[in-house]
Amino acid sequence: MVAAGVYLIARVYPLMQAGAQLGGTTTALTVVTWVGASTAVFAALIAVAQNDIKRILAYSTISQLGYMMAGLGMGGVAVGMFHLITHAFFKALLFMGAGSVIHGCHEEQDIRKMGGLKAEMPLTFATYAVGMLALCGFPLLFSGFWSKDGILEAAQHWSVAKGPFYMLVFGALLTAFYMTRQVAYVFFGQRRGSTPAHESPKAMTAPLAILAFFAVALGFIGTPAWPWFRAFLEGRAAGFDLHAFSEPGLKGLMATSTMVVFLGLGLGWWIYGGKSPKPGELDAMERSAPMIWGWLRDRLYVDEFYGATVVAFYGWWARVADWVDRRVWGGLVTGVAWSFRGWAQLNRFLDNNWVDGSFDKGCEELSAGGGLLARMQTGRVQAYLRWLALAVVALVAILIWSSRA
Amino acid sequence: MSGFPILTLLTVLPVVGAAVALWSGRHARNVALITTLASLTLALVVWIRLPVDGSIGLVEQAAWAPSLGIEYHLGVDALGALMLVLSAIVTLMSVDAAHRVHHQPGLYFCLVLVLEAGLFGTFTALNFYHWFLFWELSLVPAFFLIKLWGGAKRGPAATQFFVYTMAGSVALLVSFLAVFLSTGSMDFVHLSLLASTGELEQMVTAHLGPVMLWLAVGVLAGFAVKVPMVPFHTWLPNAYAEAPSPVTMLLTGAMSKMGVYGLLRIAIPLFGPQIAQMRTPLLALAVATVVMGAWAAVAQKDLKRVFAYMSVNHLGYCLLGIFALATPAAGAAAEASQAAALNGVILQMFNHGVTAAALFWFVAMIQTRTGGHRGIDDFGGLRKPAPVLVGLMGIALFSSLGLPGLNGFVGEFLIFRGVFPLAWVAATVSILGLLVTAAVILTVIQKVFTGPVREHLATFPDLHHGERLALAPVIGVIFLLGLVPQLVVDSLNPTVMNLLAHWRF
Repeated sequence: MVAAGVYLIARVYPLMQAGAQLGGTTTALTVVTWVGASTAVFAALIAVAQNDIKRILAYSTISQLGYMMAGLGMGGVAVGMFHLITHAFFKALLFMGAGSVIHGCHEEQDIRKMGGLKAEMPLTFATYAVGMLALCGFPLLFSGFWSKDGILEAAQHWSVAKGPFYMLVFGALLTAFYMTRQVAYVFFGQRRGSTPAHESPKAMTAPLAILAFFAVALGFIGTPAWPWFRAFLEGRAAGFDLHAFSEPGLKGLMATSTMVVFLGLGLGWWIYGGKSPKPGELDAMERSAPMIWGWLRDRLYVDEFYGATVVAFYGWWARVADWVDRRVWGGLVTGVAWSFRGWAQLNRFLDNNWVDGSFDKGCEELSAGGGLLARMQTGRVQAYLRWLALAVVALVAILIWSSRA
Repeated sequence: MSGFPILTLLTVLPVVGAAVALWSGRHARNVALITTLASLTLALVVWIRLPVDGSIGLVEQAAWAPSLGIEYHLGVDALGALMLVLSAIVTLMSVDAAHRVHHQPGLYFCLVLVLEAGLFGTFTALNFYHWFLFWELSLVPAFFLIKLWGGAKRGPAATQFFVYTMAGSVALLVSFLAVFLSTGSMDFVHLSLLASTGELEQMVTAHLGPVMLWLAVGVLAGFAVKVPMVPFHTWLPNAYAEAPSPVTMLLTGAMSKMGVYGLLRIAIPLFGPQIAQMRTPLLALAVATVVMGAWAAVAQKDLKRVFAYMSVNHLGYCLLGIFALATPAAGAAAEASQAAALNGVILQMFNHGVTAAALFWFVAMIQTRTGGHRGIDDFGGLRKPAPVLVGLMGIALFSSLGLPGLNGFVGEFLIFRGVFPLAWVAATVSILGLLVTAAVILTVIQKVFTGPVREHLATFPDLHHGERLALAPVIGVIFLLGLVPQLVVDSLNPTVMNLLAHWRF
């Protein structure tokens, strides 16, 4: 699955190459190269100090993906894709071998608690060794040698800078070193587990054997003498030509690469060969450079870096978004609602005290007047008659007064 | 008026159903089911009988109050018809989901059907008066559905929802009155024609002075609240969370589309140049809706509020597409991008409607099974006791995330395809929203579905056959439109081209 990214770069290679002069390169490809070479070294360094059998392989995969990217950047599609194909087989072999080891050791993944498994798991050991040698790029026989050499060759001829070449050579040294460390811990030395290990069933070892075959055989479709794979990708027939080996610089490169591999294997064996660290004992490298070892063991703090930047920002910004929603926008809405409510209260006050107040005052006076009249409406006929008589008298008096003339 | 008045029938049908439901007590849900099924059938008939050239068809026209510019004028193009189908689907889903209404079921389903009638009326009306009537009418049942059957804080939530939307509507109304005073018309088709020649602006300016921009702002305000657009969205999480989940399905699935529909039917056709003038700030708000909506979802602890903010985020993509295409840029490339964006916006409306309604349906199921739990931290390991529910809900969640092959992807893809060439900065920043939504959804999956099984979930019952049967068509639509979007796009594209041909920016 992880190869998908490499494949994508290969697929969009024409885009990456757009605008390149003949024999030149583009900024995009230069970036791909540097990123690839740095990844190769960075991940290989981390792989040196890991103790989980699968974690070592995982960092190794990242490192090899870096090689593929660098190969794409400097050598083109065929170089990168060839390493992708060979790596797919030997890395699958290694991961399945690791699975077989873990199964045989009762779900133990810590290489410090294994050891001496080559006697108990001979088939797994043999196939794992093939995968490991292919990954290290053991000369001539193994596929990893040919595909990695293709990349190194491209790096050697790269016109922009020589840095990637040296980085990739250093990466090859580290690869051989950490794989030797792993194999030495897992398969050599004394058995350190509490329960005896057992070889895995055929269902597990048979695929290992098949993959081991390809981890060797695939190399031969991409040698300089018979570059069938490159020809296949470029859509032409491949010719067999042993003279290709006598191209200037190629033999020197193969010799360098071989030396680097042997140096890595030798260093690894010298430090870790036949050692059986007791539980709790420090790693041989850890004793000599504890600080650097600590950095590498803690994976150069990449996870911590992302945790402190991206993840922290993600959570913090989520709280900000929520806060802005609740306090600022929600607050504005509430503020508007409250101001409306305040306005309503003010209206009520004005209504009650001024508008209604004066109206009520008028009503009070009216009802007071009404009360006066009501007192006159006593319901007694005699009283009404008295008023009537008085009124008649008054009317008559007015009549007389007015007709006096 | 020509032919059979199918659109009138479509709107009347739920009203009749509502009247029957009101008096049928505990059989109300069956009445509602029959009504919504019949409505869906009718809506599909409308969809099939659309004119092939993308123009407005099935027109019904009758005098109402001619002196006031009021006319009974109905008609739909693919945009309106798709919204009719969506409303019918979502209402059917909502009725299906509401099988535990014990308190006054007659009234409940009556209100749901009135709401459906309001939606149908809004999506078919071509006269402002008529349209506004239904636009407001749909608020009333929604208010009572939240107020009477909602959660603990239903009172304030319902009031805020109602008043906030009303405030937006008032701004909209004032703008439209100004347009009416200047032109003497309330007819969308007529006004769009006037606007496309630039006459509308001349008439308004001649009558009222240079106020066209302010009228555009008023209309936008009305729709911005309804969609909603940041910062006019704060009513939404409360309303969605406090409403009973089947009502939330209606709110997010159908009612939120009224705002986007209004932008496409009214705001853009009439106020294209003004919106193009305000494009940059509007795009900024659309991006804020996408990005802040997604991030606010991260901070929520209540599943319903998480999905509510995700709705804000998803409708933000619609806003992004609409505002990005409001540009006077000419040329074949720009027109292709505008067409892609508009197709995407309309598809997104439909897809979000189905997916969001499905998500709230699942929340409703989880709630009834756990006695009301819906905190994101209340769950864990749900996939052990309820693999079918988790599987189907997972499909809906991934559709919401925009996984290729599911319906959610298609609309978002087309929107980004269209927006990127037209407004690449806005598109790029909005990608953050996609990323964060994905993180939110994966967090929900992780916290609710996986992990050790919580004690109170050990006896959690999985979906029974009835529920599986009810959900199957929804999941079917999610896959169907994800895999064969041309089923809709082929009918939609003529309308899109027709709309774009008449819009002027």
